Parts: sequence; structure tokens; C-alpha cells
Amino acid sequence: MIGGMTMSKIIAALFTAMTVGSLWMTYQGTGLQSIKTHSTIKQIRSTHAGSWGSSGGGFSSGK
Amino acid sequence: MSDTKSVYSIKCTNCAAPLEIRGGGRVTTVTCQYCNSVLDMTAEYKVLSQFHDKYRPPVPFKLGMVGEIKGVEWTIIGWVSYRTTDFPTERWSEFFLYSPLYGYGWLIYEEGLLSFSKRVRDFSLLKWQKDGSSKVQFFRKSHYRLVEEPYDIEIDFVQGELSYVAKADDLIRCWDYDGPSHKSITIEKSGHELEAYQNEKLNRREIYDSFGVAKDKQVDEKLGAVDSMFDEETLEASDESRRSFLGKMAILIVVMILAIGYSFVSSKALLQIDANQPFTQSIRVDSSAFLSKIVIKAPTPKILDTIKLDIYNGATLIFTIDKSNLYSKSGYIGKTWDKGDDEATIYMKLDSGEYRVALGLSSPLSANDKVKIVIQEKVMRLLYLVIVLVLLFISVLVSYKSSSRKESSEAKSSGKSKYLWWFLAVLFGYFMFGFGSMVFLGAFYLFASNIGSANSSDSDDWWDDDE
Repeated sequence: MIGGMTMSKIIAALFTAMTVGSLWMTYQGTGLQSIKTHSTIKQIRSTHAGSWGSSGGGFSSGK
Repeated sequence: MSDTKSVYSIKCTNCAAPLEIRGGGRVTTVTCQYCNSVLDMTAEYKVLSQFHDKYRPPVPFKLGMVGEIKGVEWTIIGWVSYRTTDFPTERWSEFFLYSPLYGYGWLIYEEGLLSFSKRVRDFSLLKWQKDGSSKVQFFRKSHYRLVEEPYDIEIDFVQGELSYVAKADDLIRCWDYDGPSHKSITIEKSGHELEAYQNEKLNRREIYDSFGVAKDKQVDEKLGAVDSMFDEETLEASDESRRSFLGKMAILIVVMILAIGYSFVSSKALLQIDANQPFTQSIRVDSSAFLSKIVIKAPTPKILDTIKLDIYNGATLIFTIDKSNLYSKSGYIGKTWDKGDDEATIYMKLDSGEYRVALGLSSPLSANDKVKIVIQEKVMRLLYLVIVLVLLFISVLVSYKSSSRKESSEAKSSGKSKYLWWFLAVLFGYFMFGFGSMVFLGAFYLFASNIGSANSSDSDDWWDDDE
């Protein structure tokens, strides 16, 4: 039977491995290469669309 | 501390010795400490039987002692010693406990091992019988497994008050089921009576101190070499392992917070230019650690579409991006920007060394239209670190909550706050990493709650049943 002590050791070891692994992958940049794009116009449109309109109150579809 | 309000004295109808009666209304017999006569309290203390010449085991507890178990004050009012029929030298004592508020319970003592036992009425004995006393039982959200084959025990010695008539050599058949977190269930069959008890191991130091057992009478658990190898850990070891676990988790959390804190100061700017015409610029990357970040920002999407940015290492093109193409020698990064975008941020691996950055424009820009090019090195992306940190926090929280619930019987509201913490964790995950993280956190919840339930599954309703 796996007692509580053994279980806590397994979980602690798992988290230690996860911590070391994540630090190493962060250091190496493994899987972290990416591109993020931004569109000011799209941002404005999406913010405006579906927001509470200023003319007369109520929900505005943005059309 | 002591409850003496309901104590009264009688004289033994056999030997006239004074006997103190401490139990409540369900006590039916009292056994004289001097002549070992069992007196019927429901029939004018008539002598029912006697326990002459019976072995009186040495125990650290005695009748009348008052102490606290799981936050409730109990008085020891009776004592029954048992032995197994197969191994008669195997003896243990069960002390009958009384609390005016919580009824009756049992303090079980076996060579330094202490447990608290209480009859449970919500265990379905009918189903248990129908299942043919199956090897696995499910009770109060936890599974209990049959430890060994059923065994017979008999009463060896009795003293004080009991809620039933104990007779010497009364035979009782027992089934023991082990559950999580030092809990177990015992089914006892005596004649036609069938009863279920839930037991929980106790911290012997706490119980000895609470009941005022003198230091020289405090017996530690005695285990043989074989027992030591196969027996479960003691509660003290469990507490120690919990503290050790929390200590390790705290160290990991500090490491992660330091790493995340370092990310705010780790980056170094290599290039920052606002340009409206093509240029070529040399940069030097000092460290291969972490990633390099390239930001391309244009005043309009149309201007962004005119840009072509190349990075060379010597004569080798290692990175290029324009409106239709994105290439990196260090591996796949993703697709280039879409029509309508005016900004792109690229995270890529650049090893230490000399590089040449070249900006090209497919059409000339006016003097007011400037594109911003920023390159930084040693940029830490926190994706992994934050996920692990959140998981560490959740694990510590689950462990801490379950241990505090275990130690206090007053934590009935913690079930609700648990959901609040999980809700906040899921919300945090969603905002940080999107919908996918919610699924991940949900899966982790099931994993973590299993750890937690092993410690706390039914502590809330532990006292609900009466003897």
C-alpha cells in the first residue's frame, strides 16, 4: 500500500521535476517561439461591436 | 475541563464497594472494579455475570479520565478488553467514552496505537449483507478495502459502564476495512446484531496529553521488524510528511516567484529605431538564454505591408518576415501578420553572436510615417512558469485546507471557500492563457481533489451519529 508519506513524496518530486523542467524550457525557449500580431482597427471595431451604445442606451450591435 | 455534573455513586450489590456512574441514559450495565460483577442498571443493579480471574491488561488510561478528541470533550466511563480467538495473546482495549453533547464513542488502545471509533448508522449494512460482505465498500465518498479475512474476537475483561450486557467469552465476528487518511470501518456481528463502526487513528501524544496520562505511562507504538516494514505510517509521521511536503512546495514557489521576478529585469535592448527608410544595423546578442523579442510597429496596416525585415548571421539568412512570408532558421514560429494588422511581435531563439538586421521597404514612406523596430535579448516568456506556479499554489492550498480541516472539526464552511479558490484559479487561467487552460485546470482539479479527499472526505459529518 502506498501510504500518505510516499504519496506526498511522489507529488513533491513531481512538482520539483515540473519546476526544474519549466525553468529549463524557459531558459532554452523550447516551444515558446511565436508571433503575436495586433490590429488597431480590428481592436477598435471589436471593442465597438456588441458594446453598450452611447446613443439612447441599450445594447448596440455595432452595425 | 471535567464533566462531573451527572456523576453519582452507588454501592455494588455484590461487594458494597462504591461505584461512580458517569454515563448518560443509554448505559445499561456497570462492572464493579473490585469484584468484577456486572450489574444491571435497568433492574436494580442485579448481578448479571462476573469476570473473575480475568487478565487485566496494563493500559495508560483509567475510568473517569477526561480528555479531548477531535475538539470534543469525552469522559472514559467503561473499559472492555478483547482478544482474538485465533491468537489469544493478541489483546487490545476499548474505552467507552461519553459526552453529554455527542453521545458515545470508543477510544481504542493497542500497544501504543490509539484510534477513535464511533458507530455509524448511514453505512448500509443491508447492502453489505446482500453483497456478501464484498471486499470493497464505498462509504461517505471514500472507498474502503477489506484488510483480511473476517476474524473472531471475545471479551476478555470488562470494567465500568457499558450500553450493553457484556459477558465473558462473548464471541464477536469482525470485518475490517481500510480507508483513506487513517480511517477504517469495522463491521461487528454478535449473535443477531450487526453494527458498523468508523475508526480513525489518533495522534497518541495529543491524546495522552489531553487525557493527562503521566509521561512514564505513555506507551509508544510497538512494532516488530516485519510489522514496521508493512505497517502504515504513524500519524506523527504523516504530520511530519505534510510539513515536509509544504516546506518543499514553499521552496519551489519561492524559486518560481524569483524566476518570474527576474523576468522583469532580464531583458536587454539591442536595437530601437524609428525608421522611414531602409537601413542595415549590426547587433550583438550576448547571451543564448531565453528568447529574443522583435517588435515591428507601423502607423497603418498598409505601411506594415511594405516592410521586409531580415536578420543575417554572417552571410546566412536566419530570419525574414514580410506580408506574405515568415521564415526562421531556429524553427517554426507561425504565420506572418494578416491584412489589417499594424503590429507584430516575434519571439525567437537567437544564440549569442553578431547579427545584421536589414529593413527593406517595398515603397518609400513619407517623413511623418515611421516604422518602429525594437529588438531585445534575454526576454523570458512566463507561460510554463506561471502554469507551474498556479499548480503549486493549488497543491499547497489543497494540502493546507485538508490538513486544517483534519485538525479542526469547525471547518464546515471550507467546502464553499474551496470552490471560490478554484473559481479564481480557473478565471486567472482563462485570462492568462485562454480557454485551453480551463480544461487543463479542470483536469488538475480532479487530480488534486482526489489528494484532498483522501484527507478530508467526511470529517464534516464525523460526529453526526450517536451510539
